[in-house]
Amino acid sequence: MRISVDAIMGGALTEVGDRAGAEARTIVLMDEETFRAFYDRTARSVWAYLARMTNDRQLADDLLQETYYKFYRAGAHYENETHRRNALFCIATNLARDASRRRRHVELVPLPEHDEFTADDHTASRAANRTDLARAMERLNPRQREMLWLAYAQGASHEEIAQILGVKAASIKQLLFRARRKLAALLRRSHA
Amino acid sequence: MTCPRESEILDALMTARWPEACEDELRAHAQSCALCADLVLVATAITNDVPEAHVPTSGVAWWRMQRRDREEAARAASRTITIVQASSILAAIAVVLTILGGVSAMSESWRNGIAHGLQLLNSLPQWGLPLLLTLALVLAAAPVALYFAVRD
Ligand SMILES: [Zn+2]
Repeated sequence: MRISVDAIMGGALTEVGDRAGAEARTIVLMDEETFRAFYDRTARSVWAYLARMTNDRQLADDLLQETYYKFYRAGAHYENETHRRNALFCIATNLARDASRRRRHVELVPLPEHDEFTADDHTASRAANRTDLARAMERLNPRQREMLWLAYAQGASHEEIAQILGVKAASIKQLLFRARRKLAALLRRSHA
Repeated sequence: MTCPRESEILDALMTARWPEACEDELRAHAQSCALCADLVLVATAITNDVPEAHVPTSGVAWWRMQRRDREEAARAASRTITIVQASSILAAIAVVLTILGGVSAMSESWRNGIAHGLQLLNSLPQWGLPLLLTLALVLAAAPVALYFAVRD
C-alpha cells in the first residue's frame, strides 16, 4: 500500500483552514540554505530507517538520495517542522516498501557493520543481538516493522506514526501494542 | 492493553536514562508488569540496533539534487524535441508528396506555359489545399515549440 503524502499533509492542514491548505499545494522549491539545514537535521535518522527497513546499507544510500529528491520536487509548504519531517518519512516508507517488493527473495539478515569485523566480546554480542532482532523483525509484516522502528528508534508519537504510515490515529495504539507483543515474544524465543 | 507507567518508562528509554538513572521502584515495576517488560525488551533491542549512518554532506546532497534536476529537464526536453522532429519530418514528407501530386496533376497545364501557373491550385486534389495550409502551419509552429521545449 502506498501512502499519499499529499493526503497526509492535506489532512493535517484542514486544521488550519482552507487558506493554508491552498498554500500547501503551491509548489515552491526549497532554497539551498533551508534544504541543507533540514537535511542536516534529518538525514541520519532517515538513512537509519531506510537501512533497517530494507536491510541493505547500499540500497539505503540510494533511497536516501531519492527520498530527498522526491521531497524537494514535491515543493509543498508545510505547517511546521513535524509535518515536514513526517512527509519525508512517508516518502522514505513508500520507497523502502517498493524496493522491498522488488527484491522479496533477499534474506533479511543484517549486513555486518564496519566496526564488527573487530570481533571482541562486546561487538560480537552486539552483532548477535542485532541478528536476533533482524530475524525477529523479518517475522513481522512491513507495517509492524515500520511502526516499531518509528516508535522506538525515532521516538515518534502515535499521531506522527499515523501520519507517516497513513493509518488512522485511533488504530495506532492497538496496532503498535500487537506488533510489540509479537516482537517481544520472538525475541524471548530467540534468547531462550 | 496499556499500563499507566508505560510513558514514564518510554521517556526514560528515549532519553537514555533507562535503567541506571531510574528509581528502583520503576525498575521493579518493569520486571513485574508484562506490558512494560515487553516495552523495555523491544525498545532496548531497537535502540541498540540503530546503525551508524554515513550520509553524504548536505552540500553534496544539494549538488546531486540540482544535477538530477538538470538531467530530468534535459530528458524531458529531448523527449519533446524527438516528438517535434518526428512531426516535422512527417510534415515535410507530406508536403513533398502533395507538391509532387500537384505537379503531376498539372503537367497538362505546364504545356500551356508558365502564364497559366495559377491553374496549379485548381488542379490540386480537393483536399490538397487545406492539407498544404495545415502542414505549413505545423512547420511554422515547430521552431516555436522547439524554443519552448529547450528554453529551460
Ligand atoms: Zn507496567
